[in-house]
Order: sequence, then structure tokens, then C-alpha cells
Amino acid sequence: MKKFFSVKLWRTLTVVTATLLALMLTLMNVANIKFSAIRSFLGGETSKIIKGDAAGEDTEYFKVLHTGDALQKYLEDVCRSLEAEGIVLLRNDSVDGVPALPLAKGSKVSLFGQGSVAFNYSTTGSSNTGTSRYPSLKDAFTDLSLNEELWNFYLTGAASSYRRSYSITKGYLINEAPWSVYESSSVTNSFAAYGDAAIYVVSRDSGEGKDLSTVGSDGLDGSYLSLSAQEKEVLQKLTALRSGGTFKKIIVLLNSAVPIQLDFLFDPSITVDAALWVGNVGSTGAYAINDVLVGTVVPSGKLSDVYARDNFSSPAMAAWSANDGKSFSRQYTNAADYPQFSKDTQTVYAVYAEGIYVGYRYYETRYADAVTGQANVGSFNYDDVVAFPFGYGLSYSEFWYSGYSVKEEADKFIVSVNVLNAGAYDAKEAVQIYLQKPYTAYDRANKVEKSAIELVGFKKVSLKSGEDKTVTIEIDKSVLRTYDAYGKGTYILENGDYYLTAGRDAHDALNNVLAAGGAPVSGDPANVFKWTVSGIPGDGVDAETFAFSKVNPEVRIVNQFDSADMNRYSGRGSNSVTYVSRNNWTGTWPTNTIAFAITPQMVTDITSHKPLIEDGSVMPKYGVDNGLTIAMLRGLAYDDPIWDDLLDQMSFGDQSLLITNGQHNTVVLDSVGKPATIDENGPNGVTHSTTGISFPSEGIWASTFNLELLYETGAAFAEDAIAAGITGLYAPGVNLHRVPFGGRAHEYFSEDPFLMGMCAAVETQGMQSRGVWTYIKHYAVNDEETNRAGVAIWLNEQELREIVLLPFEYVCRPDMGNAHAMMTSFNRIGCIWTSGSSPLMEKVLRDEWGFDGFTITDMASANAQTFMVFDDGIANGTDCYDGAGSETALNSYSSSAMFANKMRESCHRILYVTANYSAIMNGISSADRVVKILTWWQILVYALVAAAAVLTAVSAALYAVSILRSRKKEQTAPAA
Amino acid sequence: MEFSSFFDFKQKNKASLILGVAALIAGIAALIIFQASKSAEFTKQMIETYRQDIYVTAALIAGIVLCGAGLVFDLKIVKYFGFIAYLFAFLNYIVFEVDYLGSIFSSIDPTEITADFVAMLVLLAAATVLALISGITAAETAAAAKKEA
Repeated sequence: MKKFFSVKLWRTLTVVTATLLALMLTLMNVANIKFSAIRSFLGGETSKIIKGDAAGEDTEYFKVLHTGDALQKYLEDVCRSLEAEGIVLLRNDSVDGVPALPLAKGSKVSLFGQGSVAFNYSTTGSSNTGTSRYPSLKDAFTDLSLNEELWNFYLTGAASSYRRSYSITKGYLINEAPWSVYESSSVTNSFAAYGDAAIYVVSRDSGEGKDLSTVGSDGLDGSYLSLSAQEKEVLQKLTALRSGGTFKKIIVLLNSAVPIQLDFLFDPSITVDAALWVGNVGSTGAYAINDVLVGTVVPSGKLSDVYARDNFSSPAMAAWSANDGKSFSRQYTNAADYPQFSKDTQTVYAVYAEGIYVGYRYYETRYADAVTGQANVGSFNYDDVVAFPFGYGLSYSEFWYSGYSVKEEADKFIVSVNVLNAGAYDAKEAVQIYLQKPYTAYDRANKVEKSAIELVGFKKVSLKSGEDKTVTIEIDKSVLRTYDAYGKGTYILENGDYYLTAGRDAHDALNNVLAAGGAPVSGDPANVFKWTVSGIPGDGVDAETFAFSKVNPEVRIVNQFDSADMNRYSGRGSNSVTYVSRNNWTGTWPTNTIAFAITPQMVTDITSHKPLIEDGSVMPKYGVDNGLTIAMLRGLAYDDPIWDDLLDQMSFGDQSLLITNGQHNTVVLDSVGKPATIDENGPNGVTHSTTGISFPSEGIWASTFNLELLYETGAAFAEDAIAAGITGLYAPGVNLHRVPFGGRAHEYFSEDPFLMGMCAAVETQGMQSRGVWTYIKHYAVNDEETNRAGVAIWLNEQELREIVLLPFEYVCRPDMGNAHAMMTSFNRIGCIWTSGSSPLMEKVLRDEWGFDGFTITDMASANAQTFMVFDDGIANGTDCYDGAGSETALNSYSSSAMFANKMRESCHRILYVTANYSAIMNGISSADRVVKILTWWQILVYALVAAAAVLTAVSAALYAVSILRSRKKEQTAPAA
Repeated sequence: MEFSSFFDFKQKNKASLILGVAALIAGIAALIIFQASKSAEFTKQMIETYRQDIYVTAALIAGIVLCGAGLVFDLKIVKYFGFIAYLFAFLNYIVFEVDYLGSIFSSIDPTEITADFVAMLVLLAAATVLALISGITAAETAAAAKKEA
């Protein structure tokens, strides 16, 4: 007993157990705060279903068609098909009278470039997937014989230390091995034996959070997207070896989601016989490259972006170039006068000075104006700046078009064209229909811009060699509309000639139209249909036909974004911007920095926590027991009054938790029988997928021009998600390839809003067919990455509606993609955070487009918390926060009836979408109850806390007893 | 009795005293820096939703008080509780900055480590370790003294 009541022993144990208790309490704290993030890693059921009597009720609301090994095979096949149809053949010159591609099976080839062994499958950020198990080119090129010595030279030999890199301080670097490294090894001796072809892989990375380097990289022009001196040198040496007969041909693979500057393909010191754009290929896409190289698959992809010889030649890049460091954004000139503002998230801005002239719209329109001799075109030579136009792509076969005709119906045109496969290969052809609208005197006077050509329809057709088919494409007449921000303030239709043409690419289409107009270009007028509007009286502008929402015809479309256009913003002060106009290319070209200063009105608008203005609504009910569950309301209309009874059952805390705790999940709620859902990244593959599959970069998806395949891909994507217990995906991304340097281009489809909108709409339909809701992202104007948190984007409403928002519109409209969830963005539109913009979140999204789903913010636990505030977002139509909120997170606003009703409406949307569109409801009948339970790891943590607390209490008690016994002993001990 | 006379430095362990003072100063410095720097862009949610700043502040104050008391009163368990309070502050400061740390380690947005953060880590770690060693040193000295007696 003496030793048992040792003061030292129990003091030590008390300290040790109390330390353990402190650790466990902290662990419990983390488990509570980061519940959803931890759950996405550890899993764990959050609810259980108490079955009721619902005999005969079919609760398999959504079906998956593949599971287990069949799912794995299905996904691998879809990925491979997607890549196979998306690969774009850019060049296929003849070598000794025979096209360079396809190669004969068994050809002995040498793979050059670090990209051959450090191949790009995926990227960083929300599209990050584990790629270590993906096949290397060596694994995938099963029909070719590879130069092993050269392979090892890159993998483990003298060139193994040369790899692409990214760091915050240095940005993106290419770091290719110079030719001297080759010469210093024996690898050059291996070339002759593998000389059927030298295949050079040019790879470039991209990633979330940072745009690609425009300066400071080791590309020849200082950017990351031009060839480096070492890459150019190697290609020149290969050219010399080709001339000397060591190699028969040189083939380039462009392994990048972002457009590599292709001036080198036209450099006289370099010979490239064939070039393929393969993008980032996903998990099994490398096999498709093999298939294309040997002709098992005939390439049929068409470029989803224009490829330039000079990546800085667009007006958007001209504006970048005028900023310090050729950067996307800059500080307001007087930002230092406002120390209350964060320099990172409140005083950074960027201007979209290019207006609608994004991508090919610029190059083709200026070309048209140059050909037709318009004033102020300036010195512009199309071939100097464009390498390959939008929509371009060769085939091993050859297609002839004939019998082009257009039939007009009330709301659409029906375009027909006969396509003959005149080549020797069975192949596919993407028929593309382009439109030219008239550029009128009214347009010039009212700053309305018109692209000289724009894609309005397409269809892919499969043809055996010698086969012909008549391809029919419907063109909705809404493509004729133009947004007139400065005149009528709505969509207009004008008197004039409208041309519909079938073109092999955008440039070919434009040449058809120009030829039809008598211009001296090599176009085919036979493939052009002219439709003339002449009956509009007065100024020749019809501001009625397209001025009403197609979904809600009572809603008149009017300017909503004057506050994002510095020239119309009421608080502009002396700030102004000159937008690029085809009326005066040289006079409107961005040459100087567009400098804005913060004005008093901007201070008010930038500042977070706008006043909550009561609207006369009354406080809703909370905690009423009506006995309803969301399963009972499945199938009922959104505005069915019974939804109010269900919402009455929720407590304020329930609503707060559902709205604020949306990080990769929506929470379980006993009160309304809502199970938790798990949501995951991302557009190129399911993070935490059980199959490990990822798909190619979205640009490759778009370059397939195959909507049926993209629907299938969406369905496959969803089945992969469901296999991992995930029923919501942060995808697809429909931001714009506005410039070549956008860091997240791999998650977005194209520079063309029509192509992107159509692709994303069918992907969404495919995903939702399996019960996985799609968070369309990032709404809106999040086309660049650097400084994305809080950067203010200034642009005019024509560009916003016609270029930036159109894909979102197509995906959201119930008659098109019918998406049920949307993710907003970190940036601002004008001074206002996008999620806090009522025009964006309510007037356009819901009133004009009829979006019936719910919206979530981008990651609300990152570096944007100071302006991604609950009151600004929820009061303006944001429904959920991708953060770690709580039942008390919205207590500060509980006294506002307006705010309380906004919260209630947000919950209504989330519950409605869950009830009707989520596979998580499979197995839950109207008679069942959903009950919240602790996950296994929560139980473990609570048990550890309890154990530590008990041990601490026992130790402390025994420590106290020991002290008392010790004192008693001292008192009773005889004096020495 | 474990109480010693007030400010009877001769009978106290000098090493423990110095370490205790250092822990006290580190804790006070950490508290000052924390109050000055806590409202950063990454921590708004932690402050407004979870009041995590209060845990850190309270634990730091408790650590400071207990360290101070450990200097005044020769009650070794108080020194140890000073250590535990500092440890709790340290751990909860990590939790407080979890979004910031997540951003750094995920390397998505280019977030860099700030001087405030480094100073807090160093001071909290120092306060915790110093308080612990102060307690251990005091206990060992007392045991040696008892043995001598």
C-alpha cells in the first residue's frame, strides 16, 4: 500500500493522463470542426434507415448498370474511347509519297522528350488523381517497338534529372535536357536501329490556383507555353538526323491540356512530318494514342481551341502584356490608401477588354475585316498568328460534302449536308455549322460587337470507306440573338443577311461565307445559306423576339450587370475602359495598362457585410411536428404547399447546419428524414474513386464533337462516383479558355461557349441519369486562377452574356442540361463577390434560366473567408457553403425575418434536389425514417476522450489521497 | 508541506525558476501576437463559427497564470498544469490555423508561411517545453532535497 499511494506516482500519472485528455479533447474538436473533410477520407455511415411499411413501393429511383470488375472495364473503355475520338491530327505530311501516319504495326520508334517518361495524365488541384498505376507510353504502345535505351536514358539515365517543375517562387519551368546530354552518353548509337520514326513528346503541366507562367519560365519567349531552347535544339538535331537518314520521319505529340505555342511547327529549321494534340490523357488514354499512331483508330478530333503561332497575339493577352509581369490582374492604383482592405482579396482587379473577341472570334473576325478591306484593321496577317484554327482536325480518310441545304422552321433551321467518306479508312467526321450575323451601322453606333463567324451546331457521323450519309443538324433560332448592352439593353435581332455554312473548321467556314460574298478567298459558296431579315421597321432592330426568357416567358431580359462594366458603373469616378471593337481594331487595341482607382462607391461595394434590408416577410415556423420526410415529398412540384409543412419541421439550427456545413457533403437531418450525401471533386475524375479512373482533360472531351459519347462519359463518371458512395460531383467545369495561360484549362472544355455549353449539358444529363448531381462550376467569370480569391472582374454585359455565361445557361436551362446544382466562384463580378450578386444568383440564374437546383460556394475554408461571408451570400441567393459550419453559425442573423426566409428557401432547394435527383434516396421509401448516428470514428474519439477523462479523474483523486496520507504520516511521525 | 515561503528564492531551484520565467514570457508573447494576428483570411470561420480563438486565448491565459503561480508557490503539480495548458493552447492553435495549413500543404493556391505563424509556433512550442522542463526540474530538486533531509 505504501508504494500504491506514492505521491510521485500519482502526480506523474495525473500529469500524463491530463496530457492525454488535452490531446483527446483537441482531437474531438478537430473531429467536430472538420467532420465532413474527415468523413471524405475515413468514410462512415452518418445515418441509418428505420424501415416502415411501404409494401410495393419501388425505391430504386436511379439504376447503375455496372459494378465491380465490369465497372472498371467500362470506365477504362470510356476513357480510351474519349481520348481516341478527341485526339486531333494537326499535320500529316507525306514522306516519300506516303502520309507519315499511320505507322506500320511493329515500327521501331524512338521516343524523345522528358514527356515520354513523365507523361501528363492528370493535374493538380481538384482534378488531381493518383496516376502511378496508369500505363506508361512504353506499356501502352503495344503495337510499336520502342527504343529501350532511349527510354532508360530519360527514365533513369543521364536525362533523368530533367523534369518539369512548379514552385511558388519560380513558377512553371520546362527544364528539358540539352542535346549535349545526349551526346555525352551512348544513347545516340541506338537511334539508327529505331529509326522508323522519332516521336517527340512535348508536355506541359497546368494546375489549380495559379495561371501558367507568361514570364520567367525557360520557354524561348519567357513563357511556359513556347518551346524551350533545349526542346528546339533537340528538334533541330532530330531534323538533321532525319536528313541524314537516321530517322524516316518526325512525329510530335502535344501532351498538354493548354495550348502550346505552335510556331515551331512552321520553323524552317525544324521538320515535323506529323503532329497530334493528345491533351492530358487520363488513365487509359495512352492506349488510344497507340491506336491512332498505328491506324487502329482513325483520328476524328477537331480543335476545341484555336492554336496560335504567338500566344500573346489575342486582345486578352495584349491586356495581360500591358500589366507588370504580363499578369492577369493588378492592384487598384490607390489601394494603399485603403489599409482596411486586404491587398490579396479586396484590391485586385482584372479587365476583360477584349469584349466578345475571345479565341477564334478575334482571329477570324479581324481576318474577315482585313479581307473585306474594313477601316482601321491595321497590319494583320492571319497566317502570322494562327497555327491551326478552331475546329481544325485531319483524318487518315477524306470527306466530301455535297447537297448542302437549309430549311427554315418557326423556331429553328434544319441544316442538311451529304458527307461521303472518300478515303480508304472507315472513319468519323464532325460536321460543323457556323453562323455569320450582320455587323450593322446600328452595331457600330451602339458598341454592339459581332464575331465574323461562330459555331452554332455540329454532329459527328461514322462512315465506312466509300459510304455517304446525309447529316441533319437542327439550329435553334436563338443563336441569331445578340446582346445589346448599350442600346436596347436586351437581346436583339437586326435587319441584314445571316449566313449558315458547313465548314471543316472556323476559318474554312468563314472563307465559305466570304467567298459567297465575292471576296477573293478559297471558300465554297455552295456550302452557304443566306437568310435575310428585312422587315424590322425603324432602326432595323427587333428588341422583342429574343428579349424574353425562353423558360419563363413573362421575364423580360434587361441589363443586370452595369455594375460590372466600368463604363456604366454608377460609382466609376474617372475610371474607364476601352473595349476592343471591330469598328476600329487599331484604335481600341489594348496597348496600355488599364488603371483603375478605388472610388468612394467602390469602397462601399467592396466592403463585406452589406446591410440586411427587411422585405416585410414574417418569421417562419421552426420545429413543428408534421410527421413529414423528404421521401414522402419526392415527385411533388417545387412549389407544392406541402413543402412548407416539411420546412416548418426544421429548427433554426438544422437550417444553419445544412446551409453552412457543405464541405464535400450535405448533412444528415433527422427532422426531415434527409440522409447525408457525399460530394467530391472533380471534372476529370472522381477523387477517392474506388477504381482510380480519371478521364482526359475536358478540352479533349470537347474535341470529340461527339455528344453521345459525352453523355456516356457522364453516365460512366456517375457510376464511378456511386461505387465510392458519392452522389454529388464538383463538375463539369464550364469556365472559359479565355487565354492560353489559364491554369485550370484542363477542367474546362473550350474557348467557344456554344461547344462548351453543349458538351457540359449532355455530360450533366448523363451524370444525372444515374442520380449524381453535378455542381456546375465556377459561376462565374473564374477564367483565370492567379489571385482568384477576391479578384474583381470588370467586363461588359455583351461578353458576359454571350461568351462567359452562355455555357452556364445551356447547362442550367431545364430544356437543355437541366442541372440541379451549381458551384459559385471565389472572384468578384465588379466589386461584388459572385455569390453575393443577386443579378447573377437570382435574376439571371433563376428568373431567366429557370434553374431549379441549389447553389454552393467554392471552398469556404480557404483564403477567401473575409469576403465569402454568410450574410452577403445567403441574402442574395446562395444556398450552401462549401465549409465547416455549424448549428450556431448563423445565429448573428437570426433576428432578420428576411434572412430567415432566405435560409428557409435555401433549405427548400437543397431538400428538393436531394429528394428528387439523388441516388442517395435509393432504398428510402415514404414510410421510412432516417436517423442520425455517429460514425465509427466519432465513437472512437468520444470513447478515447471518456477514457482519458476517467483516467485523469482517478489519477487526480488518488494523487489527492496520496498527499493526504503523506501529510498524515508526517504529522504522526515521531520528531527526529 | 509543499508550500515554500513567498519569494524564498534560496530554497527554490534556480533552474526551474529560470525555465518557469522563460515559459511565462513565451506564453505572454504568444498571447500578444495571437491577439494581434488572429483575424486573418483563413481563420474567420474558426473565430465566428467555432470560437476556436477563445480556446487558444483561454488556454494561453491559463498557462500564463499557472506558470506564474508555479513561480510563486512551490506546488509542482501547478507547474505541470501550466505545461498542459500551454500544450492545449499549442494544439488548438494548430486547429485554429488548420485551413491555412491545409492551403500550404495542398499547394493549390500559392499560400506562403507568414512570420506571425512561425512566431506563434516557436513561442507556443517553447512555452510548452519550458513549462514541462521547469516542472520536472523542480520535482527532481525537491526529491533530491528530500533525500538529503
